[in-house]
Amino acid sequence: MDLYDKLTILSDAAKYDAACTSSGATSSSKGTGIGSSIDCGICHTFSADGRCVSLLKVLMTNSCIYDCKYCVNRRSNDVKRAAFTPEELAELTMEFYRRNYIEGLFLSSGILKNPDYTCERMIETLRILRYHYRFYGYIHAKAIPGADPILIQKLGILADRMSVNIELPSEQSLSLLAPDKTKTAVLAPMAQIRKGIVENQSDLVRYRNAPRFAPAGQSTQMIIGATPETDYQILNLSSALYQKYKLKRVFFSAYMPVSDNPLLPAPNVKPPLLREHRLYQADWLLRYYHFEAKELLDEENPFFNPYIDPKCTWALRHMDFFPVEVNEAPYETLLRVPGIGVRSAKRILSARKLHSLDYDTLKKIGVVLKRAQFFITCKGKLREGLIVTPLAAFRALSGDDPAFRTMGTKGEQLSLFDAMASSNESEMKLCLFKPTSPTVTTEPTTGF
Amino acid sequence: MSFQTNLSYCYDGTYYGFLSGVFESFRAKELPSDFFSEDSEQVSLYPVKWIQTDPAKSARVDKAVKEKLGDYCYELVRLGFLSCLPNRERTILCFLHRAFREGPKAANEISDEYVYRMTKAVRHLSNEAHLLKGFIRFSDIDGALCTVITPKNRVIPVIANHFLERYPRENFLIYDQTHKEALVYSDRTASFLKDVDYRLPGSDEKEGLYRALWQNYYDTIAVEGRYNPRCRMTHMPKRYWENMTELGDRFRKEEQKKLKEGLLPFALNE
Repeated sequence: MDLYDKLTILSDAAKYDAACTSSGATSSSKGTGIGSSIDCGICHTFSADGRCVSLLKVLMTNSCIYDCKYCVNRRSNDVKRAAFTPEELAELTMEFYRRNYIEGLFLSSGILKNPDYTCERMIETLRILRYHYRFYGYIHAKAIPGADPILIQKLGILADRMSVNIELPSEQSLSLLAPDKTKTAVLAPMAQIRKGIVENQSDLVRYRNAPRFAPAGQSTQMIIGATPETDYQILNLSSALYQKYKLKRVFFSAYMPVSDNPLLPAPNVKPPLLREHRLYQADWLLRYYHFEAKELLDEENPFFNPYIDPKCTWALRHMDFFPVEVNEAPYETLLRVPGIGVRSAKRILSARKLHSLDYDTLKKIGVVLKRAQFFITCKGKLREGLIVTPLAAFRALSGDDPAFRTMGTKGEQLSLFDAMASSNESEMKLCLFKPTSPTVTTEPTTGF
Repeated sequence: MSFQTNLSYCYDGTYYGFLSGVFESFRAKELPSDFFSEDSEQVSLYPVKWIQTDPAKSARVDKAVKEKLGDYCYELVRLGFLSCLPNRERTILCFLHRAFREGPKAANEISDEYVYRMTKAVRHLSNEAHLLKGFIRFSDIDGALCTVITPKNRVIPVIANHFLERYPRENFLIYDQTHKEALVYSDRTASFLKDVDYRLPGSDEKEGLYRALWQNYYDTIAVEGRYNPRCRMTHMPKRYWENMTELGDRFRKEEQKKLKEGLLPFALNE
């Protein structure tokens, strides 16, 4: 089998991994090797599905001893199998990197023979890259659950980012669909990596030249829509993962039908892309907007509203919080306004030092008013000519949500307003405008 | 402004030439109505003042901007000059007249027309430079890495450091076809060339193999169930496609097809 076919098989098998970021690490070869990475990451191209491609995302091999029902590489699936040799993959990575096709390598693997053997082959690949080619670019390595802790340690020294996929959002689902994996086997390497990163940080303070262990942190991924967990459970799980395991990112991957197993959604079920989108929006709110999971969802409303994004939903439920005076509100309050993000909020802060802001100036500094206008005042005044009715606000808030554009068809967008006009309207308003009851909040649990 | 004149300044098109023009404007206490570089074919009906590039004068202006107006203004001026803002020289000059009067805070005065235009243009430039750090595709031509780009702004000075740091042991060439400029790095020395012509030579077998591998990888990595061309175009505007290995050939073919069918009035390249 030649390189061309191998690459086809092994990138095809890796494409369901959502993560392809190259962010979080800064490195330079200082003239002695090849490669660098910058903190913000660089996208090198965008594939036909609109996702950023920044790393060469491949599996070491797609043959696997496990039989996870949701996975395209499961033992019982009849697909072509292939494997890279470490030398081959390292050379391919270097040739791609030289041509500026990629920012680095994302290496994962099916389990060949046993976890230790698989992990050793990955380590060998990274060793060739780092020491033979003196490669300073970005490397994301998947920790193999069940591999010896010493091997995970070695992998972490060679890679910039590590990740362990928790795969499914609860233990029941995991035991049902991935009988060979257990919660402990998944969480053990995650805990080890966290420990490694923490220890490494204190080492680096003491010894400047201590080897760096996964400097870009660790991330994880779970599949959405293959199992019956609610958004509330998933969000609680991810916020617990951020707190407990100090993860950099939690990725969500809408389940793509790859099997006709009766335990899974039927192959003709559309992947829940909108749901995935809402979860990412909520994830951003947790990480950059000072929101907490319990503010966005609760036991009574365990799913996100499909028509309006989580931040707007929160805003509509807390109309007493608004309007916010742009010239006085602190940073955290500005961030709560739908339509004002981190950048806009920072621009407002620096612009208002000079003089008070009006709507024209807001526009000039790049604040988009389409949504924000319903929630702000400038010098105590609402925007001129603005009619604030729930329906007008609802249209402005939901109409241009990129989620609907990604869903593609006009029909769906029309059905949004049909749904509004029909008997659903009262139901939806109820769901939106119902004040959140100050119930006792439960501690976030890991779901396991 | 009272010192507004109908003079046009003609200079050599370089940054230092422009700074000499700035010096002259402050010295003569006059604001020219237009700036143009000697190689542009612009004909002015108004009187023209020829600006001789004087390194000493330029250095004085450069130093003054840096020390009196601060790093942010310095960047704004330097990058503003590289941007594709129409009439950029005069916009920057007007800004400088105001900034030297009011100090560094003038750059935050976003409601000022000149500051607004410059900030916007610089943002456009920085965005394009950031995108190109990823979208540039090198071809291995006899061991040297070569690429041709067609950016709207003059991005080479902005992206040069990134590539110098990334490939310190390679030899490479980045050619900006729009502005006829090139960055050449060989034997660990970088040089910046102006008014050059370059055409990418044909590729050998090995180069062809890696191009094919990359195109194949690009096609494979997309998940069919998530096909979303609009999202791709948002993140990666079509004007970059022509120079990208994974899309260029196909993009050109598509265009030729449209041309044949009479959907396009003329070819976009050439």
